[in-house]
Amino acid sequence: MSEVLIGLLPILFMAAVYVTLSVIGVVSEQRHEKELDRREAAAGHFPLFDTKTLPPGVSGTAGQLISGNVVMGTGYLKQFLAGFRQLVGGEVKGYQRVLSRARREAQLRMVEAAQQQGATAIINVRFETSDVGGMKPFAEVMCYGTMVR
Amino acid sequence: MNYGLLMLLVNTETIPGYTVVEAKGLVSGNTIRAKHLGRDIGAGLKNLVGGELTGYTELLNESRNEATQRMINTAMSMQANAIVNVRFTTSAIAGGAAELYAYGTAVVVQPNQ
Repeated sequence: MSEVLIGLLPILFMAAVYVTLSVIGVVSEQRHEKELDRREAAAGHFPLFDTKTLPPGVSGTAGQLISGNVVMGTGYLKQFLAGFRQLVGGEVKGYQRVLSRARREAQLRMVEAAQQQGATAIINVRFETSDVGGMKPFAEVMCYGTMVR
Repeated sequence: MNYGLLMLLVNTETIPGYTVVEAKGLVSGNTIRAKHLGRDIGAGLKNLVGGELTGYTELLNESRNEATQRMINTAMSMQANAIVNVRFTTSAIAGGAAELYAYGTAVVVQPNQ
C-alpha cells in the first residue's frame, strides 16, 4: 500500500505544480484585464483611424511612425482545455481571451507612446499577429500607425 | 517605440503637411534573431502560467528596431529624407528563430508652405 503511494508521489507532485501554476495564471489574467481597463480609462478616447488620410474635422500635420507590441503566452491550463476543444470543434474561448488581451495591450502601448510625444491622432492603424513560438503557443501582436500632431 | 528623428517614417502613402517631390524606390531591412537558451527556458516556464513573456517582447522590439535601422540606412544612402508606406512582416522561419522584415518607399519630401 505504502509502495503504491510512493509511486504516486511524483504524479501527485506534478499535478499540484500544474494546478498551482494554472491558478496563478487565472488570477494574473484577471489582474491584467483590470489593469487594461484602468489604463484604457486613463488614456481616454484617443482618435484612432485605419484610413490612410485624416477624416474631415480632424487636423494634424507631420506624421511619424509609432508602434506597440507584446508577446503573450497562453499558459498550460488553456493549452490543456484547448486540446479537448479541438476534439469536438468550436470556439476556443481561452485563446480568444488571450489574443484580445494581447491586442488591447499592444494598442494601448502604441497610444501611450503617442500621447507621450504629444500626438493628437493616429491614422492607418494596422495590427499584425505572428506565431513566434514555433511549436509553443505564443503569439506576438504588434500595432502600428502614423501619428499626427 | 520611437524611430529616429533624421528620417520621417510613416505607413501612409502621403505625409500630412508634406509634399512628396521625388520617389527614390523601395528600401528594406531585415534581421533574424534567435533567443538564447536561458531566455528560451525562462519563457517556457513562464508559458506554463501564461501572460506576457517580457523577454520575448523586448527581443522582438529590439530586432524590429534593428531591421528598421537597416532600412533607414539604405534610404539615407539614397539621399532620401522620408520613407512612406512602411510595412512590417514577422515570420518564424524555424523553431526558436524569427525573421523581422521592414520595407517601404524612400522619398524626398518638402514641408508645405
